[in-house]
Parts: sequence; structure tokens; C-alpha cells
Amino acid sequence: MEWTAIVMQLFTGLSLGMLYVLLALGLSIIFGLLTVVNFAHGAMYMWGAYAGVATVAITGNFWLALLVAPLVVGGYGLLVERTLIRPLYGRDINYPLLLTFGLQFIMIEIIRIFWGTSDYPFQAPEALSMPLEIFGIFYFPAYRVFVIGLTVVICFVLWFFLERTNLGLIIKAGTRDSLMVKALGIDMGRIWWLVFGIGSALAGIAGVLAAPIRSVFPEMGLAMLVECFVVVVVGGMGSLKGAILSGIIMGEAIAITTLFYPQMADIVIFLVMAVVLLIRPSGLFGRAGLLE
Amino acid sequence: MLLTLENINTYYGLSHILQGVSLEVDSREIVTLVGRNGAGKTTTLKSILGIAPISSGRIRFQDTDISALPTHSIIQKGIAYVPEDRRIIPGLTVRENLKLALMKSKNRDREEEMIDRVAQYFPILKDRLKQEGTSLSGGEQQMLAIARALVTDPEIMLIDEPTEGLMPLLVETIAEIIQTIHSNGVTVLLVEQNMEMALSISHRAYVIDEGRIQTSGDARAILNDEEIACKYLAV
Repeated sequence: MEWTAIVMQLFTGLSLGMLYVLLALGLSIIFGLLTVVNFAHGAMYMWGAYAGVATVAITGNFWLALLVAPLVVGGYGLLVERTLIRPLYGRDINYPLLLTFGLQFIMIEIIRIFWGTSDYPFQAPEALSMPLEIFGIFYFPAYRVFVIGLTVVICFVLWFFLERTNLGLIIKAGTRDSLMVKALGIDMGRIWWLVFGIGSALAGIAGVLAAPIRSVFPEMGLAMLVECFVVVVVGGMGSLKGAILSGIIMGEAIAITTLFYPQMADIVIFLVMAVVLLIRPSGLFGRAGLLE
Repeated sequence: MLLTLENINTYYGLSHILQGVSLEVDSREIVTLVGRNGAGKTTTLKSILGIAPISSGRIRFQDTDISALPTHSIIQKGIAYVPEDRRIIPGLTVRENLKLALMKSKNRDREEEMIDRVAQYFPILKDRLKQEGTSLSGGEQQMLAIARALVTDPEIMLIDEPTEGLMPLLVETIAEIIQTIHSNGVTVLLVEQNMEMALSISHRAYVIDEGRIQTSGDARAILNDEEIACKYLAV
């Protein structure tokens, strides 16, 4: 096998990994602060893709879709937190889990009612449809390079927000001891609301970014949700560093397995999870006792 | 009165923890709540702060009813809390712990000035602003917990078991610090198991047992009353 094929496959793995990273970051930031296991995250990803489909159908503008999808899904997340999740704080962790588990099926059904059950094609924008020469050795779809680049930018913005702003400091502190943060005079309710919105928006942008690579259909979030839970668990529940590293590892694991032993590609991430958890039960960057 | 608790009742699930507790703290006082482990001391502080919400009764602070307010609003009114176990937030530096306390206080725009001011009380913290808060020793963490409350320039500080787990020399230091804070105009409501220390620096005291205030009065009188000590405070 030519080594350029391997390098190319590594690039493919990276672009897939970036979708995992975006989704896992959203799941992880929500879990880390709110201890809500958001089972509707996959459906939010799917809604992001449909928001993209709708925006492109109306305006013909992909770039606008890239903006509309996170806004719509993020706004929806704010609404869900305020009306459905907030009344469940202080109860067992299973309550929001069951609620969002049911919510995802309602979200899927709504899409089936309005858009039907078949796939929607979604074209990458004209400007990104040509292949790009990488290191002068192979050609790679420009759109996938764009996905990688945009995710890196989003990760950097998120890092800057969490590490360099007052709000980020509150979120970081709230992840460790939200009761003490309240006892320092800070309204954690508003912070939880905001973080749920940010996590949802990340799912929305992942959805619209995935649309030209994977097809758009009502159940597209189901498999993705399971894979992203694996990514989050391997990275360490609530760890953003872990979500990024684990997302990339999983994308590459799938890509490389597809090249050498495609029959295993669908289950390789579960194998990686088993191995990681055997060695580090709380994941790569997990903190012991997060749920205690 | 600065702070008044009128006949408050607090439950944890079905357990009736506070059974009609009433107490008052006047401006510029140091008042101590003493009692055995599990008597309801910490719950009283948590009820004032809305962390353990009361089911009946009334809590007033500066003539405002704060009984139904959420914790963050109560803190913003000028009450500062030094919790049991210090609860320094892991992963944050000393400066970040202080900054967090300042964020919603009236001193939010005077971060440097306020940090400088608390550093006068605790010079050791000044040198460690960039160090992670939880990497400090137990005594230093207690100082940080007090500094974090003090930095907001509160009307009253609720201090829960500040000497727990500290060596005797540090117990004295903490007692001195509380007196200095008080002499600078801050009212203190103290909860302590080390009643000798607590009562010797307080003006008045309340003795709590089984969720009820059993007696109250001049702190020194209570310290010297052997019957009270035997009945309510002996381990």
C-alpha cells in the first residue's frame, strides 16, 4: 500500500474526528457543569443539519447556514433547559437523562412529520467543492480541510472563553463546586442555562458541518450519539481536553481500521474504549469522584 | 438588629433538624453558636444562606426578609460565608478564588485594591496568589477561605468551624484574625466546637442542642457555667 494512501486516510480520520470533537465538547461541557447526561444531543446534531438544509433551501447560502444552525439549536437548547431540565435539578441524575432520552424521539418525529423519512442531499459550497493539494503529495477535499480548520478555531475560541474570561472562570469553578460558587454570590442558574445553550449550539454546528459529508436523515444523530458517548467516556467525563484528544483518536481509529480491515471499522471505537477503561477507569483525563 | 432568625424550622428529608431556632446578631458583635456535633450549628448557617432552606419561620437581614431568597442573592446583600472544610475551589489559583468572590460584590471594580487589602491580614497569601488554592496547607487554606469572605467587604461573616483540624498555634492565629476583622467593623456569627476559643473572643453566645436553642447570654458567663458545659457541650 502506498504511504500517501495512509496519510490521506489519516486526514480523513482527522476530519471525522473533528465532528466527534465538536459533539463531545458539547456533551462534556454540559455534563461537567450540570451533571446532565444529554441524550438529546444526537437529535440536536440532526436538527443542526436540518436547520442547514432549510437555510440553504431558502437562501442558497451555505455560510449563512453555518451561522443559523448553531443559533437555532442553541436557542432551542436554552428553551429546553429553562422549561424542561431546570425543574429536575437537585434530583437524581437519571431524571434529566430519561427526559432527554424521550425528547430525542420527539425531535426525530417532528422532523419526520415535516421533512419525511428520506435522505436530503446537501452540497458543500461551491468554493469548497474542489480538491486541495496537500503537501504536494495528494489531493484532499477542500471541504474536509475546512471542517478541520473551523473545528480548530472553535476549540481555540472555547479555550479562550473558558481560560481567559470571568464567565469562563465561573464555569470552571462551577464544574468543581457549584454550591460554593453560589455561596460566593454567583447565580449558577443563569450559568447552567448559558452552558446548556453553548453545548447545544456546538451540536448544531457539528450537524451542519457533517451534512455535506454524511447524508441528512431523521435518525442521523442516533448512531452519532452512541459514538460520542464513547468519545466522552474515553476522554474522561466532563474533561474538555479529554473530549478533544479522544475525538481525534476515535476518528483516526475508524479511518485506519477502514483502510486495513474494514469489517472492524464499526466496532473499533468500542475496542479502544474497553482498552482505555481497563487501564484508566475514569478515562484519559477523567477525575475520580466526579459523580459522587 | 443586623440579623434576626425568628422561630425557623429546617428539615433534611424527613429529619426535623432545626426546631424553632431564634437568634439575633447586632451590628459589630461577635456571636457564637456552640453545641455538640450534630446539634444543628452548621444547618443554622446553611439555613441563613438558603443552602438548607427553611420550611417555616423568618430570617431578616438589615430589616429585609431574606427567608425566600436564593443563596446568591443573600450573599450579594452583604453576608459572607466561610464554610466548614474551607471549600477552596480545586483547579483555581489563590487569586482566582478571591476574584470569584469579588465578581458579584460591590468591590468588583477594585480587584487589585481589595486583594492588596486582604493581603495585609494574610501576608502569606500575597506571595502565593499564583499557586493553586488547594495546594496550600490546611491553615493557609483556612486563611484563604476567610480572605475570600473578607475581600467582599461584608456586613457580616458567617464562619463555620474555622479551627477544625488546625494545630493549637494556628487556632490562636485564627482567633486573632477574627478579632482583627471584628475591630475593623465586620460583624461575626461564629460556629465552633472549640468553645473555649470561641467564647473567649465572643460577646454573646447561643447554646444549641438537638435543633433547639437551649440557652443564650454573655459569652464569658456561658464559658464559666459548668452546668451548661456538662449538659450541652460535653462530648
